[in-house]
Amino acid sequence: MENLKSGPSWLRTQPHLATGYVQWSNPKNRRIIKILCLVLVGAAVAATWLAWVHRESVAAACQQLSAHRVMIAVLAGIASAALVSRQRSAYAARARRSWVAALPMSRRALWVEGLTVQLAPLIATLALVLGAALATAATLAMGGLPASASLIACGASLAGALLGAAGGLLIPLPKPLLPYPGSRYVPHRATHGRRPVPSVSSLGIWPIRRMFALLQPKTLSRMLLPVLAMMPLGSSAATAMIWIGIFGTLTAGVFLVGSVAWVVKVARQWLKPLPLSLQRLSWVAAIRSAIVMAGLGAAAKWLAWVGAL
Amino acid sequence: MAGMGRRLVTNPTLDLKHLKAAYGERVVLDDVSLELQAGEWFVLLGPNGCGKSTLLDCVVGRKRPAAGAVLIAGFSLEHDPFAAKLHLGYGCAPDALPLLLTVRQCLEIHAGAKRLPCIGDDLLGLADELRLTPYWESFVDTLSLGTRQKLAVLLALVGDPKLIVLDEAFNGLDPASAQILKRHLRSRLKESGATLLLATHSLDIVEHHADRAALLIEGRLQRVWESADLEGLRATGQRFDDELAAGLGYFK
Repeated sequence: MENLKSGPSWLRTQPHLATGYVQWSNPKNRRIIKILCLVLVGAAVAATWLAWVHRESVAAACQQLSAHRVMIAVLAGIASAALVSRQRSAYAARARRSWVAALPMSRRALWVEGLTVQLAPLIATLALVLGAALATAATLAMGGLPASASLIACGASLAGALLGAAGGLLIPLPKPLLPYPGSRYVPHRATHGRRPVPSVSSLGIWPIRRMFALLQPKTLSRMLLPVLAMMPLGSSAATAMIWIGIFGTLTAGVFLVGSVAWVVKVARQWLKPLPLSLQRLSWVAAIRSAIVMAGLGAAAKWLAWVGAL
Repeated sequence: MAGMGRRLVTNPTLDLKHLKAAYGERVVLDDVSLELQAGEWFVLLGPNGCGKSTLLDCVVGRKRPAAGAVLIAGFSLEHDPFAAKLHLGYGCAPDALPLLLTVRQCLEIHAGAKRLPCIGDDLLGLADELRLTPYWESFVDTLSLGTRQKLAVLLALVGDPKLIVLDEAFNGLDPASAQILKRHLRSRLKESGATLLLATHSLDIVEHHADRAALLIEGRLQRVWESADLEGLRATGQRFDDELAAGLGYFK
């Protein structure tokens, strides 16, 4: 007989949570957690020091936030509803196909586990916000400045986030994607009558396809946010469009270079048994991408020229 | 080995009633009904993509059927999943195992979820026979395919389930380990009255070990071989692939 040692006994009826707990408590991962904690503490100390140095500005910013607390609450609510809703659908898709899906779980255990997994990222975020608000308030109070504004803004965001989380839990889940991605029942394009041609030139299209796969609208729009935030106040829409265009083409170029390197690395492993030299492989993988790069460079230059006018 | 084909007149361990499953528009299982009795070794055969794994997914609750019912030891998987799953042991695919857990931790999580205070001696003995014990503290991501397969089978046997569901359980196992496992499964069915539902392409299991077998083609059970049919084959020394080829054109 071997007694059970993995994880606390109260987690045993919740196999998903037990898996997560045991994974993160393994020595391999404990080191990563320690490093993350150190980084977090370092960032907190640096942020507190910055808040102390610029306490006048921080106090003014807190006053502004406090004045707009309703808007902050609404924004926090929307963000937390989206976060919880996404976690719910991700958990629903993952739990059903997990390695512990066939294990018995009581309704209560299912409910507790589901709620914990769905709310964990939100709770972690709210804990960070609360910690930041308390640290800011303490810093301002030590500097003899009013500290209540930071707590009011924090309270508004917490209240909004909690209401949003409740909303996120009530939003009906989207219909599951069937067949799920990766299923063998995903229909494939018919290839009847198309004869394979012996050539490695098709490797050249791979980096370009990968670039488009990486450049999804969602990714691009997220990456554009800092560019838009850095635009000076009073910029015209035309200037913004030009900057977005330049940033988009340059990002595509960066992704393309990365994709070529990745494809060469992967193809080198995959085609190792074939009599194909690294030079030939790199040439085949890079030639079409080089043409696309030239096109992207020309587009960026043209946009810069239009911007200069 | 053979000769376990008795059919007890009791509650079936697994009862599938008019099961239907689909992925989007594509119907993968269509009106599948099946009853498995205690102590039975049932083999599910069929070409790739015919719905064997989908059928097993429906049986273990990994896929919700579009219609029909699944009863395990008399408990409905839909209405009383806790009671139904208490009697179920499922060996997941080796690539679904969590990479960052050790072999011992995987077994302990399964045992904990089944409310067991410890891992039983019979399971530890089987692990020893399968030479899995040296890997006890190894992480799953460091194990070979065969070793992961052994672990997946052991997970299915945790807690002496009444219904053992295995999908291609002998893939990647060396012949000695496969033989040990077959012997263990046979004795387990005999002693504890468990039922084994095994999806496989290995016809020698049907020839030498199965009590009943069924052929699934395009989501429908095309034929079920009862224990008398299999006993007849064994008595005449006829090979099962001849039977498949002659009767159904399976190899066309």
